[in-house]
Amino acid sequence: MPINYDPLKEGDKLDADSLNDRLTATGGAGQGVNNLGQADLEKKALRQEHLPTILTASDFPNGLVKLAPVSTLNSAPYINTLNILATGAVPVPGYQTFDTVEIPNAPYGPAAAAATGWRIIADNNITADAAEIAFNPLTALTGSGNIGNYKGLLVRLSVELVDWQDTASGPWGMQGIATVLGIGWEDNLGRHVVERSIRWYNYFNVVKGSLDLFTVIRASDVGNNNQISKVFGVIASASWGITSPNYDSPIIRYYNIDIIPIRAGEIPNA
Amino acid sequence: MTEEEQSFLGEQVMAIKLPRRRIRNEETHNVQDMNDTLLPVVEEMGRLNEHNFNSTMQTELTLTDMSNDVAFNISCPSISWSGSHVVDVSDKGTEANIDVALAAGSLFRIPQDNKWHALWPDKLSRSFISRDGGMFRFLASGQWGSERMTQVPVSSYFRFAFRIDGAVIPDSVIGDQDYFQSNDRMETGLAGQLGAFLLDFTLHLNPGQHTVDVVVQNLFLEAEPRREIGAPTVQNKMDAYCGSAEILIWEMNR
Repeated sequence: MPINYDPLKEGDKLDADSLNDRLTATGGAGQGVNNLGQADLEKKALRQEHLPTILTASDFPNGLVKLAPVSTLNSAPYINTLNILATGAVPVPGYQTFDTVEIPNAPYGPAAAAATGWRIIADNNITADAAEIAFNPLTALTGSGNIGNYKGLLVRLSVELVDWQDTASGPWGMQGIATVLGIGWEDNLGRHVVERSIRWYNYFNVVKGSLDLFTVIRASDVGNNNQISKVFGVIASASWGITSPNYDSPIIRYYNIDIIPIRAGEIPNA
Repeated sequence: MTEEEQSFLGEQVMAIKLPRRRIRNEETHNVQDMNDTLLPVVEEMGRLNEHNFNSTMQTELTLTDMSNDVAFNISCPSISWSGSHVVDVSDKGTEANIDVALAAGSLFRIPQDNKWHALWPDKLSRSFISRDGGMFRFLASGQWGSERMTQVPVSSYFRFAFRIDGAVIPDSVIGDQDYFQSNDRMETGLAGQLGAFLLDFTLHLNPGQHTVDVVVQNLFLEAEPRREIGAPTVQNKMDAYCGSAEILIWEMNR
């Protein structure tokens, strides 16, 4: 219910006509006080126009969504031992190593060759096509729990699993190959993966389809006074208990990542 | 109008109608007098925003945290509630490790009895109050697994959903709901070996108290019981468990 009044200034013409125009504007015509609609008066009449903008546009000059290129090909079969596997050595949620094999674009990938460490998902290793969103640095403050003006950064990642390359079948069941996805961020200290976001998709469970995950990046993840400037999706393939990376490997195609900065308070406990 | 309402209006100084009278040409006009008369009303009625509320009202406006910021309310791992758990599933998967982890509470055993159960209620269930009600978005994700074997080991399948105020919400269920089974190991749910799920759902809630659970339904086709703690792992007799998980409850009404 915007009601506008144009204040009189010294020197303005002051007569009944000029005054009544102002009275009409504030009281009568349009959205004046005497013409408030039901929506202006009922519960929740305070709406978004009365509240500050929830998103500071200048914080996110590259937008909030990043899609794989439409022309993307089947990404190369992705073989990544993640760890240098010895028998029984397996990836762990806390694993933070990024691949450096494919110079100069590492850790972007998937890579065609065997590699170690996380890859940031990018069709054909093209950095510009990566599943990552860069933004202006936001400072995390663990005391207030804020990242910039936001209480958290909701990040969703979806990856299309096209198939598994049948090279040399590994063991079935729990020890079979799994696609492993996670969500990471970059700050002034480097790249990191959110441990709790890491998800395994065993190829006995899913042969093709959409692999979806999310996390809320919070100030305590980033660390006090660190400046987060990018979020991205990471991929690896891994297995429990096999020693060779040359078994079946996942093939991915399309992917997308989105980020929603949330300015919020806390829902009260019951 | 009740006596109470009449009393309320009588105590209030409100600009119910503008103008109180029209201005006539023969009157003496003064710029400052006019502005002083009109601007306060306009300021209060026409430019109403969060700064118009006194501190008492701010505390009552729980649909958004006005004193801290202006936006939404959320429950997630970031604010005074665990809402998530990190489990290193990589060192689980063998009988000894599973038993230790279950005993330590770092894994959640998924009951294998074909019924809906709250998934890790200590971490993922939440009771809260919505003062004004409105649209909510719920997101939950988790890792499930069963014990590590080299052969096809398990005939468990899972469905996941949100249970709100005691009712499993059918539209939130994920996992194959196609009951036409071409094979007793197929098309029944998400295969129960090692996988992950994501629930992303919106729902309008009434004002008041609500309880949200992430629920899981295990479908154990072979009618075999799960492995008892300490008992050896054999085919079709294994534990199924939940590893890392996270949930976000987002009250979207501003």
